[in-house]
Amino acid sequence: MQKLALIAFFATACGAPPGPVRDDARLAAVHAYNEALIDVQRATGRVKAALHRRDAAETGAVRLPTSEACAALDRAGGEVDAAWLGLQKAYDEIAESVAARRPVEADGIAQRQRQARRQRDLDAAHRAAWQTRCAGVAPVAVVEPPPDDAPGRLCRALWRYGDLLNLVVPTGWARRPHAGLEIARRLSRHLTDELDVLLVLAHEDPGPPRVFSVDRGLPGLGGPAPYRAGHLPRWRRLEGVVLLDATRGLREAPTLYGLARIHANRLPIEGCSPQLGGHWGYADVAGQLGGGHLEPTVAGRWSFAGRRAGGGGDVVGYAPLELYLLGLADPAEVGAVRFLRESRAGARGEVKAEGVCTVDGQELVRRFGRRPRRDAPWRIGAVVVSSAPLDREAARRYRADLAALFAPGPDEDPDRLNFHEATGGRGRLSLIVPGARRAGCGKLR
Amino acid sequence: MTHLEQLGEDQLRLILTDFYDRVFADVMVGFFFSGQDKGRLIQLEYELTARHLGGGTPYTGRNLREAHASHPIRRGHFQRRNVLLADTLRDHDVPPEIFEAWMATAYALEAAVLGDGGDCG
Repeated sequence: MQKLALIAFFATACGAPPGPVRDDARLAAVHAYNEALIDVQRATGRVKAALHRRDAAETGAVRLPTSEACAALDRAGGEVDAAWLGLQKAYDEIAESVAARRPVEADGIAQRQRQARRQRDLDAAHRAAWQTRCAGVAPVAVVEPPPDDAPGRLCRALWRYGDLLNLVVPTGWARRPHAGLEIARRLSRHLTDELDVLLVLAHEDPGPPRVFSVDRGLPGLGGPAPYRAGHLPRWRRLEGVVLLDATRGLREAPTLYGLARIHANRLPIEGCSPQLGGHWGYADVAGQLGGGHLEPTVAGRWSFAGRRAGGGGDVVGYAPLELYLLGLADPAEVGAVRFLRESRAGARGEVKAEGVCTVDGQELVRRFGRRPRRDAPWRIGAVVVSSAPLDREAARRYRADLAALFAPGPDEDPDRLNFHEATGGRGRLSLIVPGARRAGCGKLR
Repeated sequence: MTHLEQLGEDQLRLILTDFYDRVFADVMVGFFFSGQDKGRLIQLEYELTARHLGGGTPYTGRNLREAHASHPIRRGHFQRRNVLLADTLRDHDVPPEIFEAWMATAYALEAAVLGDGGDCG
C-alpha cells in the first residue's frame, strides 16, 4: 500500500498527464524507478544492520581472539559482504531506470554507487585482515590446577598471586601488533574498571618495551594517542598499557621508561620534537626518554653527552619536563629545554645541527593547554603473561620486585631507582587487583 | 623490518584512499580539495608516507611549500587534517609504533604546509 501511494505521489508530482489518456510506457518507467528506489533503501538498511552486527561482534571479540569470537566475527563479516552485494545490485537496477526517468539524478546515483563500492572494498579488506589475525587462533588455554600451596584460579587461564595476576596464553603473543591492548581487553572482560595503567610482564617472550597509550582527552600532552577510548570499551579510565620483557626479571625491564612513555613524547612542535612519538633525541632533557647535555663547540656543531633514546633501565630519574607531562610538576619548573634542529651525527662524537629550538613550560601551556596536576597515586595492575601458571618462586620474585618499585619511599637497591626515587618523592604508585565482574570469575578480593 | 614492510604497501594505499575520502568530504577542509584529482593526491601522499615509513619510494611531487602556497591554509585546517588522519589510522588498526611515527611525520610538515617557517625561533 505504501509503495502504491509512493508511486501515485511520483506520478502526480512528476507530471503524469491528467485526463483519460494513459501513457503506459511512462507509467512503467515511473514504477520501475520507484521499485528500484525502494530496493536501494531496503538494501541500505540491510547494510547498516549488518555493519552494526559486525561492530558488535568485533567489540565482543577480544583482541587476543578465541576461536569462537573469530567465528562469530567472520559470520558477521559475511553478512556485511552479502548486504553490500545486495546494495550493489539495487544500485545497478536503479541506474537503469534513472537514466530513463530522471536523467538529472543519474550522476548522483553513480556517485553513491561508487562510494558504496569503495566502502564495500574497505569492509572486505577489514574482514580479510581479521581472517589473517584469526588464522590459527587456538581456544583459550585451559590450565591444569595449580599445586595446593599456589593461589586459586580466577577465571579460565587467569590466576591471582596476592596482588599479582597471571594470565596464561600460548607463547608468541607479545609480537602481535596490538599485544598490550589485547591483553587489557581480555582482562577487562573479567575485571572491573579500576586501573590507570596496566603493566604486562612477558615471562617468556623477549622483545623491546612497548607502550599502548589510550586517548583520555587529557590536556597539555600534545598529539593524539594511538588508541581512542572506544578501543577499550569496558575500561574507561585506563591511560595505557606498558608491555615489558620480564624474561630477566622485572627490575631489568625499563619500567620507569614505560610509565613515562604513556604520556610522552607527543609534543608536536616543529623542530623542537625531532623524536616525536617517543624519545627526546638531541636535547638537554636528560630523563627517562633520553636526551642529555648539550654544549656548543664551533658553529653548527655541538657536543652531546647522553642518550638520544630512553629505555636504558631504571637508573635515571625523570627530567622536569617528564615530571610535568606526568602531572607531577608545574610548568614553571620545566625551565628552558633546548632541542637541536635538523640534527645529524658528525665525526668524533659531535652533532651537526641547523640551529637550536628552545621551549619552556609556559610555551607548552600556551600551545597545548596546561597538563593537570596529578595528586592521586596511579592505580596500577600487574599481570605476568606466561604459557603455564607461574610457580611459587617466580611469583614471589615478581611480587618482591613490584614491592620495591612501588615502595612509598626509597628501596634498598643502590643500583636502581624506584618510582618514588625517580620522581623525587612526588609520585606514588598503588598496586591493585580490580574486582571481579561476576561471581563465575572467582573471588578476586 | 621497516614500518612500511610491517604495514604492507597495499594496506598503506588502502588507508590513504580512505583518508582522502574523508578529507574530500570534510566540512572544514574539504573545500580545499574541490576539483582536485584525488587519485593523484593519493599517489603523492603514498610516495611521501612510504618514504617516511622506511620505503625507498621516490617522491615525484612538487616541493610541499610550493604546492600549498596558493591555498589559504590556517593552523586549524592543518590540525583538522591531522585529526582525520589519526581517526583513519585508528580505524585501520595501525599498530601504535607506526601510528606514532606516521603522526610525527604529519606534524613535522606543518611549517612546509603553512609556509610560516614553524613556531620555534
